[in-house]
Amino acid sequence: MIVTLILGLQVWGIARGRVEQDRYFCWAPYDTFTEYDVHVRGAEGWLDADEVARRYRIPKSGRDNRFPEHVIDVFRQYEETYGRKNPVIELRLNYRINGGAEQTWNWPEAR
Amino acid sequence: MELARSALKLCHWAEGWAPFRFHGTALAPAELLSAKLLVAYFILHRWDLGGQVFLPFWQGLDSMPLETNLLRGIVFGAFYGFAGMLFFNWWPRFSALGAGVVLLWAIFASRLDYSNSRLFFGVFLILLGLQDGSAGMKWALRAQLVLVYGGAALNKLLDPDWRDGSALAYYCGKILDLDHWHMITQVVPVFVFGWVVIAAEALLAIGFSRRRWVSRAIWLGLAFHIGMLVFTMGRLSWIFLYAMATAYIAVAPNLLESPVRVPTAFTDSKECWRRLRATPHLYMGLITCLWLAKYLTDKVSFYF
Repeated sequence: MIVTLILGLQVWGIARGRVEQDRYFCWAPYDTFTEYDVHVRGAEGWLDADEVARRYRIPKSGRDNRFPEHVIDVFRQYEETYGRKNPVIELRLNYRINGGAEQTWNWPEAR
Repeated sequence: MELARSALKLCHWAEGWAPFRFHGTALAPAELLSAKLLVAYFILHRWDLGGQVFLPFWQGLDSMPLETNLLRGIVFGAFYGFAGMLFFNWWPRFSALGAGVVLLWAIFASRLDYSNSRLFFGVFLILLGLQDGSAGMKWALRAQLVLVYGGAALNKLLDPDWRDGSALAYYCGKILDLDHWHMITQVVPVFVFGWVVIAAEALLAIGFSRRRWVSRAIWLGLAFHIGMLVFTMGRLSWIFLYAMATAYIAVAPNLLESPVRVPTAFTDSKECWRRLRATPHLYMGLITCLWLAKYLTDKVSFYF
C-alpha cells in the first residue's frame, strides 16, 4: 500500500511535469541548463552579490542544471513570504535556457 | 587461487563484525548492503543534510515553532542515529526507512536542497526499508529504477532541445568546453548524441521492467553511467553512478544468497572465485573504489 503510494506519487510527478513549467519530482536530471543573473533593488538601492546571497541563499548569478522555474520559484516564494517584512522595490531576473535567447522575469509580477 | 582464498578468509573474518555482516537480518543481504552503501555516501562526503526550513515545498512548514539550529540538530541526530542502527544491523528495515524519511524531510523543508540524486537516495532507502526480505517485493525496487530512467527518457524525448541535440551541445560544448566534443561533432551531427541518451534511458527503463532482463539492464546501466562519466571527463556524474551501482546491487538476481564460506581445501580455482563473487564484501569493495576514485579526482582537480 505505502509502496504503491510512493511509486504512484512519482508517476503523478512525471505526468505533472508535462503540464507545469517546473520539473520537481519528475526525474529530469540535467535536462535543462539555465544561466541567470538577478538584479534586485531595495529601499537602499541595488543589492550587491553578498546581499543577494544573504537574502535568497543562492548566488546573484550562476547556473542551475534545471528549468528556470526552479530559480524563479526561489525569488517568488521568498518575496511572497519572508520578503514581506522587508520588500524589494524591483527584481529583474535575466536568464537563458540552454544558451538560447535571453528572457526576463520581473517581480512584482504583472497581474 | 591463493589470492581468492585469502580474500575469502578476509570476508569471513569481516563478517564477525556487524557493519560487515549482511546475512541473518530482516532484510535480504543485497538490500542491506545497498542501504548501508547509500547511507555511507552521506557520511563519507559529509554531505550537508540541510534540514532547516527555508522556502519549503509545503509552506505550512514555515510556521514550525522550532529554532533553525535546533531543527538542523534534530535532522542531523536522527540521520546519524538511523545510520548507526543500520550499520550495526539493529532493526535494519526500520533504520533504512527512517534514514530515507529524514532525507525526504530535508528536501521538503527547503527547495534549495532539492536535487534528483538526493531524492533518489531518500526514496530508495524508504523502499528498501519496506522490503520484507523476500523476493516478492523486489518489484518495487525495479519499479523505482523504471520510473527514474523512464521519467528521464520521457522528459528528454518531449524536449525539442534534446531531440535536436542543442541541450547537449550547450552542456558539452559551452559549459564543459570538451575538446573531443568539438572534434567529434565535426563529423557526427549533434542530434545523434541526444537520441543516444534518450534511447539508452528508454532501454534501461524497459530492461528493469522485466525480471529476466535485469542482468542485461545492469550491464547497460553501468556502461551508460561510466561512459557518461568518461565522456564528460569526470564531470557527470559520480554521484549518479554511485547511487545507481548501489541500487543495482539490490535488484540484481540471485546475489549474495548465502553467508561466506571458506572451505578447508580447494581443488578448483573456479569454485574459489565463484564463492568470492558471492560475497557482499566484494561489491562493498568495488563501490568503495568508486567512492575513492571520486575522492581522489576531486583532490587532484583541486590542486590543478
